[in-house]
Amino acid sequence: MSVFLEVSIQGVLMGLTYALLALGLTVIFGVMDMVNFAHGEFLMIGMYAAYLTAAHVFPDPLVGVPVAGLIGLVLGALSYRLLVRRLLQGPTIAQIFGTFGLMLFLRYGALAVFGPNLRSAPGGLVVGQRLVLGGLVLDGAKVTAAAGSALLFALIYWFLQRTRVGLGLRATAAHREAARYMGVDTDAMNSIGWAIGGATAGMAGALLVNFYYVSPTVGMVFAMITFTTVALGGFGSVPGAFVAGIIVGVVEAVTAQYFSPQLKLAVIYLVFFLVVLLRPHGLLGAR
Amino acid sequence: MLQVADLKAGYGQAPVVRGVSLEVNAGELVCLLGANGAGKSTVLKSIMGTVKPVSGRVRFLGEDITGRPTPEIVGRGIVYVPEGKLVFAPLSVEENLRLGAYLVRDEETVRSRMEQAYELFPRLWERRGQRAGTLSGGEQTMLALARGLMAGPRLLLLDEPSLGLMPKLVGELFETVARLKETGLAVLLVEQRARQALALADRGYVLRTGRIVAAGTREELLSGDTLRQAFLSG
Repeated sequence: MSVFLEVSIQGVLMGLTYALLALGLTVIFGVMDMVNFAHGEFLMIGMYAAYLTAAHVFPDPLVGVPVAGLIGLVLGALSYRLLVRRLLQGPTIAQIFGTFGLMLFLRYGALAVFGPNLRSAPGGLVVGQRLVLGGLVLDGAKVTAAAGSALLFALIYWFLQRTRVGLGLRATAAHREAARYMGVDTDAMNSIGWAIGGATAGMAGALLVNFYYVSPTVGMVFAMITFTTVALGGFGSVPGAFVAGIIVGVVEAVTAQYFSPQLKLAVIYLVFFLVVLLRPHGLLGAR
Repeated sequence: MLQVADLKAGYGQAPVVRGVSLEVNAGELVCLLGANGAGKSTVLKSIMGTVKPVSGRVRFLGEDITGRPTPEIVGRGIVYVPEGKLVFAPLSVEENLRLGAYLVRDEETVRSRMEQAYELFPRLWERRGQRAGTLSGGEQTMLALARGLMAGPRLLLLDEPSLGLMPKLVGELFETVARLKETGLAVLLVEQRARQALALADRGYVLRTGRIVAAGTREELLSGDTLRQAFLSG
């Protein structure tokens, strides 16, 4: 099998997790035109939730996935209820710095509680497993994270497209005032948007713990990639988040293989820059 | 059914509505007429709770609903069809209709109302899978009205439905409104096309710079100078 194909497959695997991360961010943006700068920290907390579950409760980070999802869901909803909702009454600049402040609070709160050391999962069903498919050797943990991310993405997509609350969320995203005239409780939709954002980021984090180290600042790495993914796909676009996630994953893997791992982010931004030059609203953005 | 008493409302410091009282009884079609900027839409939005009244009372079916949250007011049976074709552009025609019945939990009711809506507006049936943003202006007006009916309103507030429509479509639209009245639905119709709207109405109010300057039955308003005077500026 050609190296290029193998590297691309690795990229798609990572890209599925980027897509899930971008999904949460794009749902919040779609519903309330707001960027959650603390998204990477939601991921970090999900990672710690899975790591601690594996270290103290049951020695497998996969068991931590629902735990991290639940913690992320509550964290997202509480962030909205206690902080963001109040910020909405202030000027736009307060909203931007508000979630920026939340990011700093969670990042350095984690540093105070967990310390600066990098930690990794003590083991688990898929940790360090090799999966051999014909001539292709894959990391079992990465395949699991990709499959889990794809499944969760599909689940949220189904929820948005096929349920009554999903319809309410999409209506709020399309036109908030008109949604209220339909009887949609748009404030509740904001909460649900943040809960989805928190839960998906948390579970993505738990899936990553199977092959990625945890640290209080790990959110930064993923947040930058996620913001780029959302902008590339088009702010507020769910299919865009999926397509852009895959593209970012593949570009990252190919760059690391053929040029240098240090250049990964630079090339991702270069691709992003070129796409936005041609399509200012991203690949599938509406506005 | 609906009583608005001495309503004052506006945006920020500027009062737009400066003491409006009006009434809609069961089964009535009442017009609220006035030139551009007279405050007609603000009256409707104050009833819906989107604009919080500064003072005054709104009562519906005997209960005070002044400044209540919009979804609650919709739940009580007042449905607002906004001006300017506020359809959910990225959503399909059918999803728009479903949203009209967002507070209706019974799937059977939703389905039968959707059938009625498609019967009333066959064009919407042809375009049910299309994104609402791709419809023509006339079709979007139909969709906004059909979507409002999906809620099963007791009182329908129509905000300048004829705005931006071709003359032929305006006639069709007013015929549809007249048919809705015949089914017993109470309607408060805001319009700039005073004569055409009054032709359908039982009664009317004329609004100028935030105040009611004339009120009466269709005949009273159509005879004499009241209308012309009310629409003169200044």
